Amino acid sequence: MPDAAEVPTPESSPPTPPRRRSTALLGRERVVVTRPDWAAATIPAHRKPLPIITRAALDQPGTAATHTRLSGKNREQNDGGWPPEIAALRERGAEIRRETLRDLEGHLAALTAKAEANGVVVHRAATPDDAVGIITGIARANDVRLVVKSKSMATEEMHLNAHLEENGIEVVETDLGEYIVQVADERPSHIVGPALHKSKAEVGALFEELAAERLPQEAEDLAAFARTRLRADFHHADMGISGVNFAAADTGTLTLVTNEGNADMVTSQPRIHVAVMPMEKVIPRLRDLAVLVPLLCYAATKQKVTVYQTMLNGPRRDGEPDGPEQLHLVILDNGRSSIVEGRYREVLACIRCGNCQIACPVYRTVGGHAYGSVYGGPIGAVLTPLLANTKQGRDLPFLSSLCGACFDACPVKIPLPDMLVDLRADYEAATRGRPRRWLWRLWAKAWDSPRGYRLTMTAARLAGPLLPRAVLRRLPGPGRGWAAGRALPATRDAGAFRAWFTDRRPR
Amino acid sequence: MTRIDLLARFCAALAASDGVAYICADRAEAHDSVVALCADGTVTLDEGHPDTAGLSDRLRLVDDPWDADVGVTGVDVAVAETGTLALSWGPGRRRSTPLVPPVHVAVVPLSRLVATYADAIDALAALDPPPTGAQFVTGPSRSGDIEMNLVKGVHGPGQVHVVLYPAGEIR
Ligand code: SF4
Repeated sequence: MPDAAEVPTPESSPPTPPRRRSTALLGRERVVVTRPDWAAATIPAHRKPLPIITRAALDQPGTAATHTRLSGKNREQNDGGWPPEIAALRERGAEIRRETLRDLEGHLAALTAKAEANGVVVHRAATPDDAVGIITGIARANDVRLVVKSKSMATEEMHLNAHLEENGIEVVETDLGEYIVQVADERPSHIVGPALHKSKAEVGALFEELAAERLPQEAEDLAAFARTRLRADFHHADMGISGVNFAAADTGTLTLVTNEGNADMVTSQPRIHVAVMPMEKVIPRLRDLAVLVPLLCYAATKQKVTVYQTMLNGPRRDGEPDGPEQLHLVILDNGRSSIVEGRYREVLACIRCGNCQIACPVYRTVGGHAYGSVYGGPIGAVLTPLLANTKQGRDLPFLSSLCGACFDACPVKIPLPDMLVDLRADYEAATRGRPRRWLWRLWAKAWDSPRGYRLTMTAARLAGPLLPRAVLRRLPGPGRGWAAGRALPATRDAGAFRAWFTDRRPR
Repeated sequence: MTRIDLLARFCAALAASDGVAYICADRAEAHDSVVALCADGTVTLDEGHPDTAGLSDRLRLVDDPWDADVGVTGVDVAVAETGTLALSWGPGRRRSTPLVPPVHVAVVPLSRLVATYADAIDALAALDPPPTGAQFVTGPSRSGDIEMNLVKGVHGPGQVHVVLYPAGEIR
């Protein structure tokens, strides 16, 4: 394994010394990208209609295997419900999160004051673009060339990596799952396990392409390969970017919850650390961690606590041997200050455990990428239509069976199924006047009377055998888009139950 | 709960997280154990901690944690319920020591055992002035990111050893 490559600076910029480039990403150009466009790291501005994506997702090799793996994890996680001691934490955690949301701005103001007193530079970003501007500004001002990053879904909302790369800054994801999806040019398919959709063989093949040599294929070997490459980058990076799990308003403490230790590396080794949080990650008191950390860990992985909780108050002080010289906190809004004022406020109670995704039969079947959004699964289907920059995901609430498993799985008791229903109604109201809506109206009218109902049954029975199966695919114009991913029901026996029932009714 | 109960629970919880506990008769024996665990490896030591004082002459110290085989630390408190070690940072107690070397050895007198995770948060909150930060560690680094197979020692240490000893308060 070579250490970080010394790259000579181009002749046009003479005096700067040679800079370190990423070791972990060496050979990245050799990787042949095979993922479909809807799984890409940067989501296309106009995504395909959901029925097309989900249909294609079902046909992907690997989707069935992922379904089996996720179902196993769901049984492990959720069979038997919440044990009594965790159920008690769940009640308290749900209340703490709602207390936070009742005065979100107040808590953010307290957090900001405390953090600034601790030496943290606090930035508020109204939009993802603002956040990108702030972060690239910090990087430029400090002559940053290599960034190591630990998991942050908020930075996915702003497609931060692509923007930094456009500015000539290398970014390396260091969470093992994030590293896998970064190399494959995909985005995370799950908020806690970004590469849950990849088999060991796929990861092995990917790493062999990267290394351009044969590699041993056990999970330990593959992890060791990533570890060696990433260690060089931890050691030499100029800047670390991390997410935040909880930010305590009373002390200004930023807490990160991980198992691998990459967040500890990212926040302690480079000379600059930028922590990025969506505004709802604030909590009232440091003491609340005693409830929220074990609750998050249980909901996410069934651990009592994860291996690491990193608690950060500020940058290194005089006399301290290590730690970053600067600590920046970027607080992202992206529509959340409107959400907190409205009837979907509780969705901001989310602590990003990912358990509603695992519990969702639709998510397990189509996979996280098929939602075509940064956040998939039930939380994604609720949050995406509400965020300011992802309104194109307004149809996501329909990607649910409304079975209610997500509510049972949620450690902070967010009424996700109710919200999915309400968001569907919002969607229908917003799309009023479309031909599809008139068809629904017509149908409702027809079935208002027994006579109308009988007529449609008869018509369906007669028409069924006459319609070839392929008719949906031959529809003209907009009808074709609607028909994609749909199938004609068998109507040969339409009305048969009614006839059967009438025959037997005592006269 | 007595110290012995706390000790028993701590050892069970640590073992469940794949850490290793060693119980020694006193501080001198604990320090001998640390020296033995470091064998001939290079060591980075948190010299700013009272529980590690006196160890520096007996270990092959290196200044850069990236050159060390073992990181030796004290702790603020250790949690019986979960097997967690809480380490705050400051002069002589660096972020890299329990993180960068592939092996972490912690020295813990029984007086530092607390019952619950909430007690450890309280201990952190009570520090005055507050430190620049703290790390809570429960066993060796791990990942389940490849097909949910458990892999140890991904970025943080692959081994965590905790050397415990009574500090005259056993009852
Ligand atoms: S909505 Fe609930 S279950 Fe889903 S990720 Fe958020 S906290 Fe977890």
